[in-house]
Amino acid sequence: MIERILLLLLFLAGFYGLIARRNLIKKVYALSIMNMAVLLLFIVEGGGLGSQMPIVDSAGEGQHYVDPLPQALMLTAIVVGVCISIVALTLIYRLYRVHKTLDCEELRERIHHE
Amino acid sequence: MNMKKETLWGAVCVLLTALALLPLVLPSHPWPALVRDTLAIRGYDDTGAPNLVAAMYLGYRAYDTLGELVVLLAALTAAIGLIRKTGAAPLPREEGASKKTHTEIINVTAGKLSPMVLLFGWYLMFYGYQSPGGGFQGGVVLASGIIFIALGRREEWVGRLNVRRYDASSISLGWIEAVSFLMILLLCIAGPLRGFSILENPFPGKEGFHPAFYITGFNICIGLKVGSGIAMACLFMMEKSND
Repeated sequence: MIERILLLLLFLAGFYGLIARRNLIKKVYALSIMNMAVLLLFIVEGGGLGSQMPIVDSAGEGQHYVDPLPQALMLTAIVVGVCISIVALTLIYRLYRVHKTLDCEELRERIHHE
Repeated sequence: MNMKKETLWGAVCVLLTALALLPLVLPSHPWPALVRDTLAIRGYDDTGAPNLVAAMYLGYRAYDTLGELVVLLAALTAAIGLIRKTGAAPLPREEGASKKTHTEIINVTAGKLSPMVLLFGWYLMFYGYQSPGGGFQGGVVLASGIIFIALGRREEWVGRLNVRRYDASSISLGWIEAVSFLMILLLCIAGPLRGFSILENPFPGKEGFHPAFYITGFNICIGLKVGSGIAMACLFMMEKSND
């Protein structure tokens, strides 16, 4: 229970950063923190089933394995999260080269004036 | 005043989100063990991979992995296209900013670490089918090794992997990525060519081939693709013109 509440707090910290921060780079970091909280939630939940790594030839019995399904799914989520970060940071980099600011309110005003 | 207002509205939003998410987090239903038990019994026989995570992402959910690689390819293409389009003109350096971005400590440490990191990446790719590891993890570690080489300013090493060389006579990261993606597509159609369904392990272990042959090949191709792609994006971002 306590780990779920901690992960919810981590998710909310990321959510706060996403909506309340004006710096675009910080918004991308906040998105990554939210992503990481969800990943960890799935890994923690699947890990509650057992205590041994899910490798068939290891000494463990089947009923002591952790669940491999959330691990495999989160592997996909990690790669997609990295893709989102790469594209977002590149777009921010281009915006910075053109408008010389990372503040989203300033950016909106400058783009509105042009 | 504006900043305070933003903070206040941010706190209200966070509170509302917490109220919406709490019912999902508080109940403690037991995690279902059905998938784990089924995989423990059938996973190895169905896919040929003792590592059940590899059995999942390269066997049962291989379409998912293929889609993920296409997403990665699209993201890298977009990122590299956007970076190249900005041109090579350097940004004006801010007053007082230090010109020295590399110290001797970083150069030496990164240079010495890079061969070990690269070796570890290959280990993860080759043994991912029967130990913790796999293509994606190995690929990211390979990319870290290449970035270490670049950080250590081993120009003569990274020169052959230059991201801006696309001629056929040189090995470049772009070529490695393209060839590994082609190899992945060939591995996808290896099943139908041998009378199995698409993305099914075509070497089930009865004709002299180890059943993990297919999984290891897939892991190595995925590792090369992911490693070269991420390393290429990072090297583009690290170019001097972007400092």
